[in-house]
Amino acid sequence: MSTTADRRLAPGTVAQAAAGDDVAFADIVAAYDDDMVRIAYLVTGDVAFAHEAVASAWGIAWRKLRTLRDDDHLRPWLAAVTANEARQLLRRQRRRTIREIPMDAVAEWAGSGSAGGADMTIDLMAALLSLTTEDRAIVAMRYALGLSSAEIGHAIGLSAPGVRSRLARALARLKQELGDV
Amino acid sequence: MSDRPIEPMDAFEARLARRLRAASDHALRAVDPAAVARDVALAHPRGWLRSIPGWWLTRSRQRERAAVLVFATLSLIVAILAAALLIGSRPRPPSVHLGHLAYTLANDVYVADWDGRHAVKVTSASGAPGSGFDIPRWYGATLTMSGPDARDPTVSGLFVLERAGGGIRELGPDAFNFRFDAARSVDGRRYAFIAGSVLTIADLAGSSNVLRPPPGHPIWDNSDLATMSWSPDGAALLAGGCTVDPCDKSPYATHDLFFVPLDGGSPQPLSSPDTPAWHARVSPDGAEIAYMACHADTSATSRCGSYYLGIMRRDGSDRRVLVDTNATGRSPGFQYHWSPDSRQIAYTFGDASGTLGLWVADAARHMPPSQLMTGPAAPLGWSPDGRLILATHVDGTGGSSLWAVPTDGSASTELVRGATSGDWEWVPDGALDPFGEPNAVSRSSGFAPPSLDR
Repeated sequence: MSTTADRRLAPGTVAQAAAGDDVAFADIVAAYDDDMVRIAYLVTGDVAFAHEAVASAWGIAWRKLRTLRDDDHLRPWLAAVTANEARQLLRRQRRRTIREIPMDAVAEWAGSGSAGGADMTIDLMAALLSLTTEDRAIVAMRYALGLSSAEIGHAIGLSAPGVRSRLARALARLKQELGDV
Repeated sequence: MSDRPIEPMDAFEARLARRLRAASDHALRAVDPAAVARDVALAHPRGWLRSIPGWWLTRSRQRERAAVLVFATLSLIVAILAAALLIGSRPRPPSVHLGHLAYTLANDVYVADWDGRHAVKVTSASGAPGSGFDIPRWYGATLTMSGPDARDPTVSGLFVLERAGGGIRELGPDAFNFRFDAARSVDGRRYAFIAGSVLTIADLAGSSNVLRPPPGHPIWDNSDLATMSWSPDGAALLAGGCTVDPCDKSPYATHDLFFVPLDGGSPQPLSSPDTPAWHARVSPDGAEIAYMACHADTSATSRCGSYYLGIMRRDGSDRRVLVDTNATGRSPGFQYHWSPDSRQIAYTFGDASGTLGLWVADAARHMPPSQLMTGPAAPLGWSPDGRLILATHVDGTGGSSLWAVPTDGSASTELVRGATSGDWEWVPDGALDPFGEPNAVSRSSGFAPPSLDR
């Protein structure tokens, strides 16, 4: 198994941000906001919800960054915080009302790809929504962010084999829904 | 930052990864990271500190905490100062002219409104021989005080403050060693004192009448135990005296109480033969007598056991203990004053353990005594309605001050800080100003020269 390094931040940035330096924290936002939006979007399936979940996740990150013991785990940790916020947001939303997928959102998905990609995107999102929110989060962390099973497991409190097992089940479901991508 | 492992993906996973990233691309937003960071920092409970102008607060959580600590400390200090100011400026009863307060402050005597305001140093008036005045006492509208004798400053004389532009004059052409408090007659026109074992009754005009103990009768003792009290009808004085010669002043075993008729009749003993008593005061209604006494103790070297404050009828009957100090071997320094309605007695309680306090007791003992002040405090007098007691109190630093102490247990009001003794003179119906025009506020009227020293 080969390795790679995540070098988006200068050394010491996380420690400075944890000490209350909002300039250092802004560097973290610049580095990882896209990752967090991707996670939130793939979990919620809604752009507005995704941005709301990310905003909430950044607030939690500001308060709890000091609890992060290893800078290497920052990205998985932020992804896990975001996924959790997205799931919480969906749960709260379901409590308020039974939400239908708006046609505008489908149009958003459809409009995001090429001419032939619109249907494929709709299929992909529909297939994703057939998974549980926990599995969507794991799938998004693994494939949209490229995190390893060990990183995901460390962030969400599972073992790496446990993550791989859930991924396998999720992939089987997606293959069933999508056919051969 | 260490390297992290890369897990291989099969073809399906690789395509899925590309499609997921492509599908989520359109959700990406263009944010200002600095704005996001500032917003989350400001949303923190201590984030408001970052809105304070100043670069240094925006970079450290430790500084945030330090700022909170400093802010909390400053707030506490401000709150304490505000509370102190509030207490210091606690609203007093309205300054309706109800009477006067005379008090001693740093060896000078001042006269103020009854609540301590509008004070005037009267011992700067003409005729005052320097300073060293004490024990101001009102005789109606006339103020007396002890002070250094004009011819022999080592002894004290009795001085009278003349009203309306007069000065201070020493009473009588013959100086006497006026060492202690004089007993005022109920009508405020005469006073009585003991000096040199001679009982003198005098008036403020200077005339006096000397009563010498007849042969075979008590010897007047000029110690502070010989506090005298006038009967309400002014016909007799209640005095303590020695029954043997010489007086045994410690532990006062030879002191008894006598009614001394002012018409020259023989003194009438009041105490029980086996119970020494002294320091008596007739109640305002004349029906009862309070007195200091000690329990009989034949086993002691003297007749005295422990001390108590007792009450008896004017004829000496129905003796009862009002407050028992359980203190032996020394006088507990009892000071007390009858309330105007003769129903209560305010007193300083000093028990065997040395605990002091200002208490008030029901003379009929229907109610248990209640404590009004803690610490060394002594009553000086009552307001006519019985709702306030004028008292001295010594704080922890040894500083004395005058207080108006409500008898209902509510908060006391400090009238004059630093004052060591004082006396209230109340206008009977609030309509008469003894120093000026009816209904006038006293201020400096009647004194020359007026000197607002406070």
